[in-house]
Formats: sequence, C-alpha cells, structure tokens
Amino acid sequence: MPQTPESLVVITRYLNNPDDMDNRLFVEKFRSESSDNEKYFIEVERVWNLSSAASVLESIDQKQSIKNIKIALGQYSSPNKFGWWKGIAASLFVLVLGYWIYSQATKVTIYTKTTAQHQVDSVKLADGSVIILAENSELKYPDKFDSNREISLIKGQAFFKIAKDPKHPFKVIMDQSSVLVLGTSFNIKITKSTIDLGVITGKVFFTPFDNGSTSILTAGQALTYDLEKKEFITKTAQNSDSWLTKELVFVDTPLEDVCKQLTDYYGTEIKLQNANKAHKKLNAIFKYQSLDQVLEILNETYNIKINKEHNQINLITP
Amino acid sequence: MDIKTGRDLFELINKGHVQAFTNFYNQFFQKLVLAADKYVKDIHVAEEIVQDVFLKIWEAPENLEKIVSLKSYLYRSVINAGINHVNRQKSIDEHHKKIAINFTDEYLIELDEENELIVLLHHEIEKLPLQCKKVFKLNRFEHLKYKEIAALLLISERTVENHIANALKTLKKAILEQKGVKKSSSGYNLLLSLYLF
Repeated sequence: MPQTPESLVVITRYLNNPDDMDNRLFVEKFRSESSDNEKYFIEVERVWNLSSAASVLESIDQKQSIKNIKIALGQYSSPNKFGWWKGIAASLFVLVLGYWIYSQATKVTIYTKTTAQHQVDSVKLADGSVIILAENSELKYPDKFDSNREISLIKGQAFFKIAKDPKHPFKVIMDQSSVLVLGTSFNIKITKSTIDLGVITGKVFFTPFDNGSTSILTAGQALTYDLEKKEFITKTAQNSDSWLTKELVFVDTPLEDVCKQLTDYYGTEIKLQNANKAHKKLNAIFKYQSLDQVLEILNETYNIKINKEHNQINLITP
Repeated sequence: MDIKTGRDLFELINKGHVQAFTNFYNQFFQKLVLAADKYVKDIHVAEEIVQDVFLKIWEAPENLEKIVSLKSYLYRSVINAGINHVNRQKSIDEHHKKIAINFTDEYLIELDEENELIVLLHHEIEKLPLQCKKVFKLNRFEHLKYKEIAALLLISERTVENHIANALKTLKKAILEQKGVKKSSSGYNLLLSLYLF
C-alpha cells in the first residue's frame, strides 16, 4: 500500500477517531506493509501529537517579552560594580515590574456573546475551553479567569467543551441553577420553563438552586429540570448535541423515546398512538435527514401508518 | 559568538553585553516557557518565571563559571522555579507537594529537542493557508472533532479531513527539512575536513 494522498486521509480519520474499526484495520495493514510505511505513520502521528502542545505558545507575545526584559536589564549599569545597595534598588525594581506585569495580566473584562435566528457562533475561553452557541442564545464570560472559572448562559442552547483543570472546577450559571464540571463536554438548553442538560463525556454536577441537592450525571446521561415544578426527569444524552452535529443516533431505543427525540429535534409534535404496545427497539443513525426521510424509514421498519394533522404527526402501528 | 557553556555566558554578562544577553534570552525563551508551563499550567506565570530566572542570572552570574551544559542548567532552574511556585500555591495541602527531582542531562537534552520541534511547529502552523490553519487549530488546539468543525464552519466533513491531511503533510515536510539542515551542516564540516587533509 503506497503512501498516497488517500492513505493519508484515512490516517487522518483514524487519528480523529481511533475507535472506528474500518480506519483502525486500514492503518494496521498500512503500517505492517513496509518499514517505510511504519516510519511514515510514526512521523505523521508525531506531528499530530506535538502540534497540540504548540497551542501553549499562542498566548505568548514574543516581542513584548523581549521588550520587558530589555526594560528590566536597562536598570543595571554594570553588574557588581557599585556595591550591594545598587543590587537592592534593582531587585526592588524587578519586584515592582513583576507585580505590574501580573496586575495587567489579571484585569478582568466581561464579554457578552449573542446569536440571532439561524446563527451559530463559538467562543474560546481563556483556559482553552470552547463553547458553541446555537441560534437565539446568549452567553456572558470573562476574558480571564482568576481562581474560579465561571460563565453565565443567559438564554438558548450551547454545547460546552471544557478544558480539564482539576484545580479549578468550571461553573455554568443559569439564573438560579448551576452546573459544575472538571473537564467534560456537555450540552445545555434553556427554555422558559425547563433546563435540559445532556452529558457527552466526563462528569457533571447539577445544582437546581442555592442549597438544592446536587445531581451527578456521567457520560451518556441527561436530565430535564422543570423550573416551575422544581422536578427532574432523567433520560439518555444520546442526541443532546444533534442540533450541532446534525446527526440522530438511536441504539436500542424504544419507539416512544424515538418519537420524543424526533419532536425535540425537528420541532414538530410526533405522537405514538398505541404507546402501550411492545414495539421492537430502533437501531439507526440519521445524518442530515429531513423529517420525511426519517418517517419513511420508520414506516419501513415498523410498518406504521402516518397521520398528519395540522400541528402534529400521529404514528399508528399495526 | 556561540554561547554553549556557563563560562561563555559569564564572560558576556561581565562585559555588560545587554544586546547579546537579550538575543540569548530570545533563543531559549519559548522552549523554557513550554517546560515551566508543564508544572504551573498558567502561561503568564510561566513567562514570569523564565524572565525571573534570567534576571537573577544577570544579577549574580558567579554560579555560571563552573557550568558545562548551560542548556541543562537553564532547564533545571526554570523547572525548579516552576515546582516551587506550585508548592507555594499548595502550601496548605502537604499531601500534594511536588518533589524537586534531579533531572538527568540526557532527559533534558531530549526535552529541549522536543520543545524545539514544538516551537518550529507553532511557527509553521502560522504559515498554513487561512482556512487550512483555521480547521487545523480548531482540531489540534481546541480539540473539536471533525464533525463539530464541519458543523461550525458549514463545510463538509470530507473538506475538514482534506485540510487536516494537507496540514499534516506540510508540517511533516517542514520538520524533515529542519532535521536535514542540521544534519547537512555537520556533514558539510566532515566533507570540508576531508578535503583539507
């Protein structure tokens, strides 16, 4: 297997998702074909790994740092020539300069990010965390974090990818409620009456209100919190981030739950008429599909009758 | 003048050559910040630490005279300063104090080589074409998956994969060229010495 552009693309896919069997088999075969191939793969993998480390250098201003040390050195005429008192004056200057640089570095400004209809945007925080805002959403965040990492989701929906920092837990505040994490990815959707929280990776602590009992959610779990009734409903997080990925994944999902998730995603009420019947579970992945295309597949799988009323769709199984 | 040993730097400081000292600082700054950052996990603190170490050296260069490997000395100073900072922050929690380890010269040489590659990669990433750079940074710096990048930038996942593959190809070439430059310069010296004798 030669080192063609296509084989590099497959290696690229593998690096993005090492769990995918197809990619893994290709890469293993590629590597074992020749020592040249093995060397090629190792070199690509090395670039892949080391380039992440380069992100640290993004925050350094090389020119400013050189300026800073020139200023500090300018205070010294010739070292050790004029005695100890010159040394003390210089050390004092270094301390003051150091403190000034530090205080410049710790001044905090709060920014607001708002998205309009049909607009998706993202924010990168000072710690490297990324927040992707769905349409009609609003987020308040500081340009720097001190000892706490805190941001506020004012309205709408967002997908959070939070950088791991066990020393400084990350808090998302939604009016009364809050979510506390160490380093995870999760989705939050706020409506007038509910907060939907779905955890994709990691662990999340949800507190509904001050002194309320905290719920712990792990990867794959989700909950809906009713702000009025002050009640929780737990469910799976399978499709919490579908608005972002445009993908609906169903693994052994009961038909009733499928209907609920379709309702959430497409915004049209889809009701299962005979919900009490035992239906076989659905295993499917829908990528960039319209509601009609999905209903067609459900029709094939369950042999259902589709009844379209003006504001809802009813599904009737035989 | 090539500054390799402690003595080289000591003589430079005694003569008061600020510009040469600053150039030397410039050479090592990014690599040492990478090393300090591993411990303090705060880029601004890491910067301060490296600057501090260099200023202290300028103030009191006597320790440099006996040092053979200047590079190792700098890395050790910066890493120990980083560890001390972490320990000071955690003064209450005895249990989590890190211990200042004595790193071997071999380990520090390898660390320096790796940091040199990281600095080079950072420089080359900036030179990538605009969209390719955007996609690559979203993936390698902000750890978004291809699916998420495609959704964010409204492009296909295949386009994302092509950008990443392109970036990897370009960066890999840049690294090999760098290694080639280093190897060929030593090869040239060997060739020259053969010619002379």
